[in-house]
Amino acid sequence: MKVQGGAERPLFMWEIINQRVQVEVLFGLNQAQPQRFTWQGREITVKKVNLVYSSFVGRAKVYYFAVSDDTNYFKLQLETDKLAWTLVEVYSD
Amino acid sequence: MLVDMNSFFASVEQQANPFLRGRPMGVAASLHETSCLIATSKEAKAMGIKTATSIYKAKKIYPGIVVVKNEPEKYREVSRQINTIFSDYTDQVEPYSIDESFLDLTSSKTNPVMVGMEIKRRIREEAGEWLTCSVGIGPNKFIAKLAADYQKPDGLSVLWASQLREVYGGKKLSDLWGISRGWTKRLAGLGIFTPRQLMDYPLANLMAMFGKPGYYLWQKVNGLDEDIIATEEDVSKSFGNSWVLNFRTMDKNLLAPVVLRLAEKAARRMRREGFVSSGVYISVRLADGGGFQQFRKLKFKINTGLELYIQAMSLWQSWKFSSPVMHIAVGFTSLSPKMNQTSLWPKQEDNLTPVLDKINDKYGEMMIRPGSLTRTSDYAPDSIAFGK
Repeated sequence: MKVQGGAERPLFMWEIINQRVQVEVLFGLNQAQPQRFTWQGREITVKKVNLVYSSFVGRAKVYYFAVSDDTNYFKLQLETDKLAWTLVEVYSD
Repeated sequence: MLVDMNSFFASVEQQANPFLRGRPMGVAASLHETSCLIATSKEAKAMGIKTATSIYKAKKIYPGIVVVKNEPEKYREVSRQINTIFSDYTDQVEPYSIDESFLDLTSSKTNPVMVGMEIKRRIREEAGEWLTCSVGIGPNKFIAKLAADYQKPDGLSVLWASQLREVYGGKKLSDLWGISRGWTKRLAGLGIFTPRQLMDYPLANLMAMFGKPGYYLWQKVNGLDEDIIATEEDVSKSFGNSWVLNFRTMDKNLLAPVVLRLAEKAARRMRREGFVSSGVYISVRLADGGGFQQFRKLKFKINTGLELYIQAMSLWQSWKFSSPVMHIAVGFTSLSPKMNQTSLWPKQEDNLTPVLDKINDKYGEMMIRPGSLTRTSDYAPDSIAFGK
């Protein structure tokens, strides 16, 4: 699903992706920080982890990482029971 | 002390997505044009787009507004993080709503102003740099709330009872926390329209008219409230769920699955907390502004969604809807802790319900559910209460 917003011309593009991605993660003392991931053949370097939150689907814990580079926001999802990463959505200015 | 997060849901969204910062934006439960914004950013507020404005109206004010769908887990997580910070200063924390908490610092040795400043800094550092709050410090909750409202966003204000008369200047009774529309109407009947007039009204006359509630009201407005901080461990009085429908109908057959879904959700929460109920309520709001509500006391205890549903159905049987239903609320009241004593006449559900709970705990809510709830997953989705 693509959503475009703005007045006369689209100011932004919000796209639901829901695709499995490969993520390079740094496991620190009390947190995991996505560093890089590959999507559509592009390697994207995470500049900032803006917010981390979690929810439960039954007993399975799912973590969400709201991250950004210089021009895009990405929502990454880590399913802890499968240790699988998904790129959930992308926002581009 | 009251810590009131500024434009909370919208600020959390701007924290998650930095490209939304500095932009008028709003959060809504649904992206339909008629849906209301449950939060607006500071930038949107500055343009006059307030909470509860419809998306359609917001776009009329500013066509470039960005509206995002709410994500309750995101806000709960940040709220949890913030409340963890509070617990470093006092164990008397009352989370009044998802974005407001009262802290009792009476026994703290640190100056409350220093605590307030430190909390503001720690929220930015630990929860997110875009998150700001207004801190209100006062001798009771009512005054702390007034103080927090004094400077928004990102303020810190201290208020004493002796300053109330000055602060009340230009305020209406309805601007004060805890003075309902009903009270405003009743007081208007006595010629009281402003907080200052209420302050000066003879207490004996107020008590003669309204009894004890009149005394409490006078006490509150004079800054003499003696309140207690209700911590999370305090007992709940009811468990209910409500939903603003995403369709409009007067057909009770189409509305029944909504009632059942709300009842199942309320029952799950109540059982998780270990309660049973001997009272139920249902209320319905209609598109034309009318509505119905009824409460029923039961002679027996219930704890399942189906039991609540059956009671609710019998309550609304006689109701005739003059226009489409837009809001339904249903819930349990008259709670008591569940006893584990084995009944002499066990019901089938007594054994079945814990098993169904276990399945849903393991695989997710509504994984196993009544057949009539099939294809109703968009009814009453996860939502978050705000305000109180």
